[in-house]
Amino acid sequence: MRKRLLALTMMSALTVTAFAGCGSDKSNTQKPAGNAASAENPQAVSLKLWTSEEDYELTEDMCARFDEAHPEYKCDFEITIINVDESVEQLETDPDNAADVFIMPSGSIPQLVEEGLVYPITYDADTLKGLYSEGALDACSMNGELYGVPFTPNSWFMFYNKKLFNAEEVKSLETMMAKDLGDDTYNFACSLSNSWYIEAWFYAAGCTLFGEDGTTPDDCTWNNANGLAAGEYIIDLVNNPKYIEDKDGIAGSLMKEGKLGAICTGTWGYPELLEALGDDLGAVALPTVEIAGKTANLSNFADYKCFAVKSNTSAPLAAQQLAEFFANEENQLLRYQKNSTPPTALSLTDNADIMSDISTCALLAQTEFATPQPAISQINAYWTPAEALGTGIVNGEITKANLQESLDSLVQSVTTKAFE
Amino acid sequence: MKKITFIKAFREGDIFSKISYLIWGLSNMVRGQIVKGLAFLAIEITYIIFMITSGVNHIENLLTLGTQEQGMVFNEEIGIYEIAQGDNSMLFLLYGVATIVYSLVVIAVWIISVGSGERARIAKENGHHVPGFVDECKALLDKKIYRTFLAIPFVGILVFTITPLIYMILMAFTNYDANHQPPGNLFKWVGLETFRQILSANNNISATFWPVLGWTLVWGVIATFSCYFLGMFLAILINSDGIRGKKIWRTIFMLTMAIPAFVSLLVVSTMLGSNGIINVLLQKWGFTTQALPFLTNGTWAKVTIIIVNLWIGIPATMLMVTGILMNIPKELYESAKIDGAGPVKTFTKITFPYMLFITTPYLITNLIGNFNNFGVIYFMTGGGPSTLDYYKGAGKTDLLVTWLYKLTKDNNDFNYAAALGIIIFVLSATISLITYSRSKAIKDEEGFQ
Amino acid sequence: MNTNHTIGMNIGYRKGTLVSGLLFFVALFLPFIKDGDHNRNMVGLLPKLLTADMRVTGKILYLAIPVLALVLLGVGIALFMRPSRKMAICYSIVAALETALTVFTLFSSKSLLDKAHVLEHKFMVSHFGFGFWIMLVCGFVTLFCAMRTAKVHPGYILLTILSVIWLFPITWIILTAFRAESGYYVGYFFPKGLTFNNFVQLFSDTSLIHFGKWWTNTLLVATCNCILTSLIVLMTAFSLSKTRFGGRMMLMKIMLIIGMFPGFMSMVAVYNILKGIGIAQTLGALILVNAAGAAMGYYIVKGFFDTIPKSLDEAALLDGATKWQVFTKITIPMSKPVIIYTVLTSFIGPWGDYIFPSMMLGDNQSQYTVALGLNWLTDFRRIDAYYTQFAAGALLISLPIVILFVALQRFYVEGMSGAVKG
Repeated sequence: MRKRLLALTMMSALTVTAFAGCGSDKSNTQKPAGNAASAENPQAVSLKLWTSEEDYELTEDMCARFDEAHPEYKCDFEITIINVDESVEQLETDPDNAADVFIMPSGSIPQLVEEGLVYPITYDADTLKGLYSEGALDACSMNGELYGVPFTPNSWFMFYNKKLFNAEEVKSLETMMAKDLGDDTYNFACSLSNSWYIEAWFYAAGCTLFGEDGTTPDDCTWNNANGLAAGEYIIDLVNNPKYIEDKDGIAGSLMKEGKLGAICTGTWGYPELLEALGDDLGAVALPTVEIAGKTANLSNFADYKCFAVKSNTSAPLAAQQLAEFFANEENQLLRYQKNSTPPTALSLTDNADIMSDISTCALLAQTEFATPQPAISQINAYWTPAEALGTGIVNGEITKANLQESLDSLVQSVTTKAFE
Repeated sequence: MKKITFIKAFREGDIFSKISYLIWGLSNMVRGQIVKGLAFLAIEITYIIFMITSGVNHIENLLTLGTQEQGMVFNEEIGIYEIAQGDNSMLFLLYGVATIVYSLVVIAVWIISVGSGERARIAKENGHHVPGFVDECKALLDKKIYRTFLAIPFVGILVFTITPLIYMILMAFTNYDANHQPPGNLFKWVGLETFRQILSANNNISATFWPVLGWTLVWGVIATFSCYFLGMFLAILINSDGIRGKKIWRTIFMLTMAIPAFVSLLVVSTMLGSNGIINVLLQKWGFTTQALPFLTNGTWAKVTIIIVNLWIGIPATMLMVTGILMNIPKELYESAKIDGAGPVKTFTKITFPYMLFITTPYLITNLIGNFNNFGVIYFMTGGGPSTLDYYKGAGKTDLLVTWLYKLTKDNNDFNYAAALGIIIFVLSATISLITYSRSKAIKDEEGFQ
Repeated sequence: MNTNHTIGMNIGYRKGTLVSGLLFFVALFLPFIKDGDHNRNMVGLLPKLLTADMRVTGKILYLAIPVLALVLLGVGIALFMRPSRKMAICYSIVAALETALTVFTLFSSKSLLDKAHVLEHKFMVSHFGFGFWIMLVCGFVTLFCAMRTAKVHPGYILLTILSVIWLFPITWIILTAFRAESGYYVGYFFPKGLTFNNFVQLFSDTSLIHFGKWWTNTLLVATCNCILTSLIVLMTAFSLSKTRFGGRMMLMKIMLIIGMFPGFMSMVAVYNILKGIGIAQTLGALILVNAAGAAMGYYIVKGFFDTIPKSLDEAALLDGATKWQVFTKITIPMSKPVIIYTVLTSFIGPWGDYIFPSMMLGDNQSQYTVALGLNWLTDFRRIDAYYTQFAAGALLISLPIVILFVALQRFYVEGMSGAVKG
């Protein structure tokens, strides 16, 4: 249905463009770069890039190599630090001054597509299909078009202190919580007031968000009996004195001091934890939970960080080539070696060096249990109500007495467009 | 000098005056004011050229807000899509508004040019000296100095305050919300629909609006008056006769004003967090066994913010009141002392009435300032704790103005933000209108006595 | 005979002094603290405390309270029998000491008692008996009465308490700036180690923190803003206060109305206009927009100008002066306080302004101001690592402003009071 709609829109757009082309002087179809360019006659291309602070130097280096590899361009790069979680907002604020190629979470692709701000990546598409896992490509696609090139999984898993837990204990959250670690030591920390974390419990309980495959905007089952059980589980967890809500880096500090058994975070937390704990640091997929009699692994959103191209870039071809270059196998390996960023390239999954890294292993192990983040723009309606639910539970304002009500109102907010 | 009106000038003027309605500045040029006349003409010509080349187009676009959506065409040859940029409703709206403002300015110049030409004609006919270019320039530093002085502010306010303001006001009458984001989508005029959504009682957004409005009013009144009275008390205390080291005391309290607000607020909010130093100390001292929800529980957060605001607001009032206290005539106090009035009586009979009389305008500005007190809320709680009862991300301590900010920054619901802005304006304007007219009455009464 | 000694005294209060001093003494025998199931009074607690394994300072603290209570009572009686100012001041000092000790007990009992295991349970403030609370209240009442007797303003008590509250967060910033241990949340007030490193890092760790750059950017904006805004505001205020022209009232009303719209409602549009001019995301844009809106703040200066007698201007005009001369030769020289006030506020503004630059500068990090940069450091991903540097930076920008403020305090007060009179 949606595909047909898109086709229709495109058709009409085509017609309109055709008319505009002959009728008025406003033919603003952009001439793609690259047609005429050749090594003898290099085309001047200026590209602005957004990258994270830890990748800054690496990006400079990669740009230089891209320039060498493409004699048909005379590239002029401008690199600015805008992190993966800031880029979407920056792009929305001012698409004209935004970067041509930037990093973003794959989860925001539907929203940006709807707003017409990202470019479909089609250059050399067949090669891309063979490079990355299907899950990664799916996460970066919408309506069958690829909008970003995935370069690392963007998800969270669990680190634990080997002095406090053994490898067997961290398989089940109940076992972990039951163990007595001493007076001022916490057992487990997570950010339940963050809507990027709380879904793991609901997915584990068998609830769905936007239907089984995450494409039905008016379907969310978080308020059924399973959802209620998940909510009650979370309330019990939060009220357990051995749990600590991770806010403003408190859990990281505790973990480094050895006063916390396990913490839910991602690869970004790894270097600091490793420095503090050394060999005592373990990393695993999320533990199982027993909700309403069923035992299942906590299942968070499978999300990827990807390179995307803005829709009004002046050099679409070069920008796409650059995005693909940034995310290719060689550069993923470099990124891993420098910043231990886990790769998405299929060919790197049997690299012994990478597979010996505990955080990468744990992350890849968790992708097994993760649920693809719904790739529809309705996901926008999910974040704030889910955050409100988590905050309400953490602050003790949502209790078992009003949980059902809260879940009902959550589902209502998540599934309806605010106004028709 | 007789007053010259636009229509009267046409009736009374000679043929040159009449033609100068079409060819601006002609009347001036004929009477010898060449430079001035040419300037008027130049303005007219630039405007006409602008309107023909793009102005008319802008006005047209303002009416439709764009018709052509962004589209894509696949280019087989190099294997990528080519994007055909569509119309951008937001820019259309902005350009349209700018064109209208420009037109209004030009119309004002037109009226001025007619008046100026007519004045030159009358001067010449009566045999007076028609001021030349140099004379007029001299006048700009003397009788007409206000023109020189106000020119820059006028242009600045026109371009960077009024134009954006009209643009935003108009936005409230469109459907420029999260689902209609340019450049991928067009938005269009929807009339008063946005206001209906906000004010009518049956949806999520009006279920947010009314409680937020209520808290805004409560906050404004409490924050203003608590700081006012306590600040006054502090100033009087420091200023009383027996206290030595007045300057040192004042400096201590002023420190909070001198440190940039965002720094002190950020620091205080970290101190009040559930693992912040205040909770840590309270537990260390044995006052509580677990962290108090200073900023995480709705009611607690509201009280906390009001108290923290005292910390910042009292010094400001204190300084202002100190200045006024110095100005209260000493004789008043001396005669009161002779009459045997105690400190309380002196305060209620002399200090307070005097203070209230003088500070009413300050109080009103302060009240309105507090309705729009963005910084305290934004840096302390960010509007939180968030709640499921409210529309997208609005929280329990959100004021209308912080909610407005969230709507533009986080939710991209510009139409609702604009409508909220208008509502805030109506609120502020009503309150100041009522209080100003009443305080005027007080002033008049004072005049009688 | 009495009159000689009681000069500068307020004898009426000495009765209250005696009564509350006596009450304080009596409270020593009332339930002081809950120990297990039974209450202990101060006198009963002492032997247990003195034999416990506690720091000497703690023992002195608890011992000093009853001793001082005795002294208090003694001096109180003496003061009652033979009042003299010297005695009253002496009494005030003892009372102040006693009150301070009692307050200190309130805050330090937990750590002292728990560490020494004096009580059967872990101590909580709620375990204090009513004897303690009477001591606390009586301490303050005694102090109040004593100061009254000595004709010392009792407002000092309140001012001291308030100052402590006011300085608490500021002390925290200062201590954090010098803290050697990094981290956002630390479970103690006084740092374990002191260092200057945080300041050094602000300027040396240039890969991420461009503090020097931010600082010069802000200085540039602040200086330009200060000059332009002051000029514009003075000119506008002069025009509206000292000249008369058609539409003057109208202009003032329009400015009043425009001022009631929430300012950043239109920031998106301002940004787009700047983009049209071609200077978006630069410091120039920041300066330009600040200057453009400056006239809206004419109100305070106009209020001050209105108080300058009109007759002065008229006399000058009669002597053939132009309005320009009136402005430069009369109005400006007579408005020193308000000019300094304007210069000061417009200079300080940009240092703390966050929202507007954040909208205007976008991703152009080389143009960031201090406020933006520091706020960027407190982003939740960075705050744990950079909190101490943030505090150091905050201290560095606050210090010059505080000095300016303190030095120009008088003008600030005078300028502001002029405003209110408007």
